[in-house]
Amino acid sequence: MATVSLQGLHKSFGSTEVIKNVNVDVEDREFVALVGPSGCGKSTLLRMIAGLETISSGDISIGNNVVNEVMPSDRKVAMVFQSYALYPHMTVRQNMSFGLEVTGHPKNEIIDKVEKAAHILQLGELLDRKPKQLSGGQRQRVAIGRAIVRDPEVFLFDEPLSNLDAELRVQMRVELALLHKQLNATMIYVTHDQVEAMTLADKIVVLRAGVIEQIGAPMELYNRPANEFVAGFIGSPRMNMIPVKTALDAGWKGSKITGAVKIGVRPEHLVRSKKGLEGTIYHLEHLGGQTLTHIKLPDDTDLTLVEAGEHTYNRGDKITVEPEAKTLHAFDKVGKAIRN
Amino acid sequence: MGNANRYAPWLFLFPALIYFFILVIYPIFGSFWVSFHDWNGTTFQCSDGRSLLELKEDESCRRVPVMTWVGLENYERFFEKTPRDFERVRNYWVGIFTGEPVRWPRLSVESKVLLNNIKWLLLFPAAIPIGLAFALFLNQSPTWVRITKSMFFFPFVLSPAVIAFVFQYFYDPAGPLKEIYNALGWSSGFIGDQNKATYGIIAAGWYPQIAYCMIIYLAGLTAIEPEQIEAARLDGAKGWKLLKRVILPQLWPATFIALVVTMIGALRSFDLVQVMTGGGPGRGSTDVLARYMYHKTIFDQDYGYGAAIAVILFVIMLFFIAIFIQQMIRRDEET
Amino acid sequence: MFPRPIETWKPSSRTLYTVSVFIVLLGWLLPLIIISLASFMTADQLNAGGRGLNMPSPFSVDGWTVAIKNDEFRGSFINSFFIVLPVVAISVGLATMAGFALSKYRFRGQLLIFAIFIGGNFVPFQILMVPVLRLTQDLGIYNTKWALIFFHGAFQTGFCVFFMRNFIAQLPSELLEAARVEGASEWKIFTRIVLPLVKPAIAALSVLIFTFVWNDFFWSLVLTPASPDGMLAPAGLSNIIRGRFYNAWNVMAAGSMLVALPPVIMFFLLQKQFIAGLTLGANKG
Repeated sequence: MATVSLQGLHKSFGSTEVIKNVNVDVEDREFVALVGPSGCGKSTLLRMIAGLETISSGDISIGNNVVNEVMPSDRKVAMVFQSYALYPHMTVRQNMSFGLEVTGHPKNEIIDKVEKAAHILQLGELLDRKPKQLSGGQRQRVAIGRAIVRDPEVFLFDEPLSNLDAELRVQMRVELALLHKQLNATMIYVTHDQVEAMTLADKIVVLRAGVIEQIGAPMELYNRPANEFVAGFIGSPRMNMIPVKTALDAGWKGSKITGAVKIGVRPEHLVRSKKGLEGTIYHLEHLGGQTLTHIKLPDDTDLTLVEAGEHTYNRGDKITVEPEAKTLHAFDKVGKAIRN
Repeated sequence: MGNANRYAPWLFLFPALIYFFILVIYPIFGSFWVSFHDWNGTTFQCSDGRSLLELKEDESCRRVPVMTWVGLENYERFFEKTPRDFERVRNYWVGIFTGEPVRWPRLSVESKVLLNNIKWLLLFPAAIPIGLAFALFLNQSPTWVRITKSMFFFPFVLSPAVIAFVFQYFYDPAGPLKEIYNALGWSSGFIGDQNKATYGIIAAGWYPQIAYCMIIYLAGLTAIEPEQIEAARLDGAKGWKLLKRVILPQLWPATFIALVVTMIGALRSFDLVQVMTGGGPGRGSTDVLARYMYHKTIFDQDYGYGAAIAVILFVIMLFFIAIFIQQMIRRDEET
Repeated sequence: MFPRPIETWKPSSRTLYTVSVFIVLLGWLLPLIIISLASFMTADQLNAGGRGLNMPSPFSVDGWTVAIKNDEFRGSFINSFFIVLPVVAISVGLATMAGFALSKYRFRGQLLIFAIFIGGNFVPFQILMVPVLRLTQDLGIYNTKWALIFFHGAFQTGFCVFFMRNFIAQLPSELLEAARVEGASEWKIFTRIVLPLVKPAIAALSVLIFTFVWNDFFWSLVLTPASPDGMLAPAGLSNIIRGRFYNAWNVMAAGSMLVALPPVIMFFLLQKQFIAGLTLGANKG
């Protein structure tokens, strides 16, 4: 069983605490994404699971065993690094065989496993090339191949797509999702890109400054963010945050609104209307299939409106918007979501 | 690196560390120890206290030097005449100022040695700007310039003993500079003359040192971001201004290395002095601490005194070494 | 690039530059040119006032043959290889391991130890002279080449550690971490990941150490004064040639050139490595 369990995990570098009381349970074969802004500790957490960083307090268990004191090589995990960390002086085949060689596996077993992994990732033709002769996407697949070959219980990914250009990233996202289904393995995936998290993960862990803000399935986080931070982090463009007074003045009602300090509504949930929040358009972004309209309200709040298709508004136009039904989020003075 | 083998780094480090310690670090302390004693280098006894004469035919024992403790006496001896010599030199300069006829005073060998080291410290670094000038002069990419750069670098690859020979021949009164000597009235040539010889040796020292500084600066110039230079040129800077305000500041790391290495090199110049003049002509006119120490120890068999001289030299150099290490570590922490 | 690249200059400036470079180069190499001329002169020509920028006439290899034929000089020349090569192997080998430890691990005191290696390399030889001399005497290797190998192997390690540590520090740590996660032992990581990647540094360093040790003079005088077999080439030049052939400038000139030859050849063959080695650290930051 390749479950991973983090219990009461703390980590400090010197006197700075970077991981504060993290508790996460990863089910067997689950794809869990660790997301958060730069510096939130997600990479540190991943490295602690791999055994590359020490634990200040708490436990990490893989399967049924506590692995705090176990060496990285004995934890049965494989890691794909952000820079791929391919050995530059070895061919693709040698890169993939290295781990098995140094742990004493017999030659034919190694050849067999490398062939299998190469087949899954379509690396067959590249086996005798060196990393510097490969493109970014190819290198990434070799890095994944190196991990697959070891037949680990858990795959760890550290921002694997961030070094690829935009188009390749989209393509690799799909391939990674398919790979997960094909290998049916437990995967823990670190990224700062919430789109990757939303599209790939079974469960998302949102981290900020070493603290878990929320854990849940993607749509759970999208529809019911636990606080302002998660609400703003998940979903692009960001959720609009409106001071409660402005919302009330525009006639918005709802049981959640009492006691709230800010009201949140996603750009894609706003529609043009005759009455509601009135503001002035100060910028337009035309993406072809969508139009993003940036609006300034009289109280200086910024609003973003997302509509499908092309809309020919002009800068300086006045525009009124209101939210669709049941799409409001309310947050209290400490940023926590108010549920009814 | 959490769980990586805790002992691994020490295992990798130990062989080099122990070896280095035994032959470089420990001897430093050993020399300090000897400097507080008097020993002629040939008197030994057995480590258990018996004299060597008491040994029977085929018996041997561990030999231990017979050193007498003298405390700071060696150091006092070195600086004994320094105040007096200092006075004499001061009077000399006062005399120059007031226009009286003065002759360069007679100084003790120790004072001459110290003065020579000061001359080295002051003059040797002239190699740095000259090296920079050559680097700027040769900073072009065509192949023939690159070949020229290699040939300019020649002198650095030669042994100082060879350089000493080359310049000895070069400076010989009957040699290539004969005509120049006649014109200047220097009958004994450059290094045959007590008053000028040190300068001749320093000039010989410049030969490889300029080549070294040139290479350091060439590397430094290549490391400057081309975009910075282009931006400055677009802003209208060129020539001397560009050099002074954009290039030179960027060359500071190179200048620093060149400076420290040159200063340390100025104090280490044993080979040139030993081969070219052996410290002479006359007593100590070109001698420097490094060579004087060697002479005193090996030839005058005054091991304690020699060690004291070595300690003095070491302490002076420690100053520069400390600066170098401090900078290295600081720059290391910044990256 | 500063000064402006030569391709952008006026043709007249370019010609002026070429000519001036040639002249400066000639002036710079003058002492060496004169010595090489002297090596091909006969003793007679030298004594008759030919000691200058003159062409050898007659052209003679007397100086060279006498120097090479001299058994002791030839002995010290050849034996120098047997001293220098082991020293290179020892110091570079030990330093690569030490440099690895100091750059890719974190432990207490590592900065201090690194500083000791750097500082130790810069100390004046004289502060080491007496204790090292006594040590070689006690070990019975005084006046043999083993004394020089023993000392230089340790001393050069200082510079080598400085060099290798800085070079290895630049290797991406993720490579080592990936290997660790894959189960490689620390020693395997060193031999199969680090060593192949530091080959260029080892080449550069070896060339430098060869030059430094070959050119050493002081320690030959101190540790092998009476042993032509044990001394390094420059001491051989000074003690033997100068002793026997005091006034035979052509022999001394030829001897000088012979002694200079190995480092010069190494330099020309491996220039890039040589210069890379020297300038490491000149541009950090």
